[in-house]
Amino acid sequence: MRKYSLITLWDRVGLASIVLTSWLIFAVFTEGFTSQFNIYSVGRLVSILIVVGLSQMVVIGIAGMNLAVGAMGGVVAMFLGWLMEQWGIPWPLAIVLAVGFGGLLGAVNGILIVKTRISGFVITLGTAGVFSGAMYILTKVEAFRNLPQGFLDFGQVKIFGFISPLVLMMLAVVVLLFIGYRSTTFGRQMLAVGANARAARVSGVPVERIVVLAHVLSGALAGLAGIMLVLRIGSAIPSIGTAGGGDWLLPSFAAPAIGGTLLAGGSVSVVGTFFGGLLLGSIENGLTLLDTPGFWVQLSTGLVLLIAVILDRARTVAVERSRIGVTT
Amino acid sequence: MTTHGFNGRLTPASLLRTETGVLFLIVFAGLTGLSVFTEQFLVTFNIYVLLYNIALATLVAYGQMVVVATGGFNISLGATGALSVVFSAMLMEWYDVPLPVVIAAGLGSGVVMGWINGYLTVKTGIHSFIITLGTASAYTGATMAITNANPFYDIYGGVIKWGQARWGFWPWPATVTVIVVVLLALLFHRMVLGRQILAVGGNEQAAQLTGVPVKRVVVWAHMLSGLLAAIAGFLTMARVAAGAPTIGNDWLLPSFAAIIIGGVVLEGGRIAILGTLLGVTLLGVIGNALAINHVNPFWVTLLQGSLILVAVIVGTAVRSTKPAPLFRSQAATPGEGIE
Repeated sequence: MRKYSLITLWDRVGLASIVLTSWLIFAVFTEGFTSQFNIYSVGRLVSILIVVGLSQMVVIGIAGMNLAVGAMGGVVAMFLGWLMEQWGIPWPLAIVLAVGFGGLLGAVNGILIVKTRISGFVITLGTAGVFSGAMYILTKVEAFRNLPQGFLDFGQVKIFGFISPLVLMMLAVVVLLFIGYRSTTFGRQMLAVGANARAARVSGVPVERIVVLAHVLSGALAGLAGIMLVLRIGSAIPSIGTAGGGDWLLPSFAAPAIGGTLLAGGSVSVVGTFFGGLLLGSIENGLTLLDTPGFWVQLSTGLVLLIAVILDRARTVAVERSRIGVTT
Repeated sequence: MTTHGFNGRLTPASLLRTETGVLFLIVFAGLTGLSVFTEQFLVTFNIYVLLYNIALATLVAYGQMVVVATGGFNISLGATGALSVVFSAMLMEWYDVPLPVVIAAGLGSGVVMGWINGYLTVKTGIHSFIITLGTASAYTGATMAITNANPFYDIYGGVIKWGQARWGFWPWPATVTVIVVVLLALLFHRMVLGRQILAVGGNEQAAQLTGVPVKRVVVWAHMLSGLLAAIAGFLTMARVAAGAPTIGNDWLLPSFAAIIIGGVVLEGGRIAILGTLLGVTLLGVIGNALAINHVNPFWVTLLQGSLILVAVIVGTAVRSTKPAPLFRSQAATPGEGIE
């Protein structure tokens, strides 16, 4: 079990207080940051970033990488649009099918990685090109803009005037993953594989199956993020995840890294990733309200990522030192 | 040499046994097929365009290769190229700086960006993937801050003229690539730094124990990567006659595709100068064939992705069927780890 020492407490409260500070700064210096409408739109923006981050975090947890998160998000978004517009499938069913399709794409990644024993970096780099390329060819890079009214209305719902259903979807994912990692065998097995695959295998963990399932989960989450973006903008466009509105590669790594999930594998922080995405989204929204040009968002995301990982490394070193009794 | 090099004389059979040899035959077959079946391929202008594409893409791929050789990645390759281009174009348009100074400053800025990547990587101990992912957005941000997303068009006439200069089918700027190939071959075959880069990539701890200044070597590799990105950027600017902030946007996937097809191992310790050149050529020829036949350009993304998968899967299969080498040391003897 995780011990709640001062340092682990600071992990949570520290990041949360940074998020709060950023909110305070934006509330003071921008007009309308705390308006009901802005809170609503920040909620939608942040929810997507958090799910994108969680999609990457799941694979980082097994000591892998998934460069196809954006590609899968875009492909699933287009698949959803196709199901609804071309086939007239009821939108709740279409969403379920599209999430399943994301899982299927993830399974392709996982099976290729397990069968070839090539690093996930290369495999997902390749499949990202294959997924996006195939989608471009099949859709002829044309958006699906005539989505069913029920679906569009659902995307615009405002609960109590400021909560989007996207926020509830995101919270459901966060809670399920939190419970999953804490108290299910599957969650623990993923972390065991990430910490030391050989040791996990020796102690009876079906390593190959866990790797594939982790990629299925990652694909489903990437697909869900794509679906949420379709709900947000009201049409399925081919640039989702890879170009329009920003490439997901950077935020997908930034959110977990800010939240303390580093590339080593074997440990994840669902709550940390939640706050990481919250911070990135809040900064993006605040900078937009300040009328800063769009590239400042990207610049700040990169800088926040660098600062976060450097601070985290410094903290880890301090913890290790105190553990072995070195005082400086 | 390791299992992948030539053993003894160069015969048709020995050619087939090496990855580079097989790759060469594939490229050769492709070129022959194109020359025979399409009329537009073997035209001076088309060959000129193809060679120009290959020359630029080769520099980009080498920029990735030198960092991958240490076991790292450089995600900021395109961002580095773009910022160095915008920096040199800014010096020309706003300050009328003499050309030699512009070139030195442009290439120097690439080296500095590489140094930042390397310094942060070794100082923090965080994987260069995360570091360069972060610096990439910082460099891109700086590029956009300077240009406001508008290209610089006041490039010196001499640069533009040189960018268009050709001798028949040979683009003059491609000569730079030839020089780089020779210098890289010298670096990795004859110089201590080259051997040390491979040693660090092969086994960092072993390299450290045998006295390799690991951190300094990693920083050098990143600086070299930044320099190559800047050279590729400068040549692209000369070719398109504009300091466009979008230069380098689409470098990442092809840079990895080329080196993976060429037989570079992403875990580090093994490079392929000739193989990478052939990998770039293969991608260039395929792109050219698609363009000639008016195929939808979106096939290119799909093909690059598929080629990465095919290349790694075949490469791994070939390696696992070969007998284990007698000595498993990495880059301990001259020529080892290089193809």
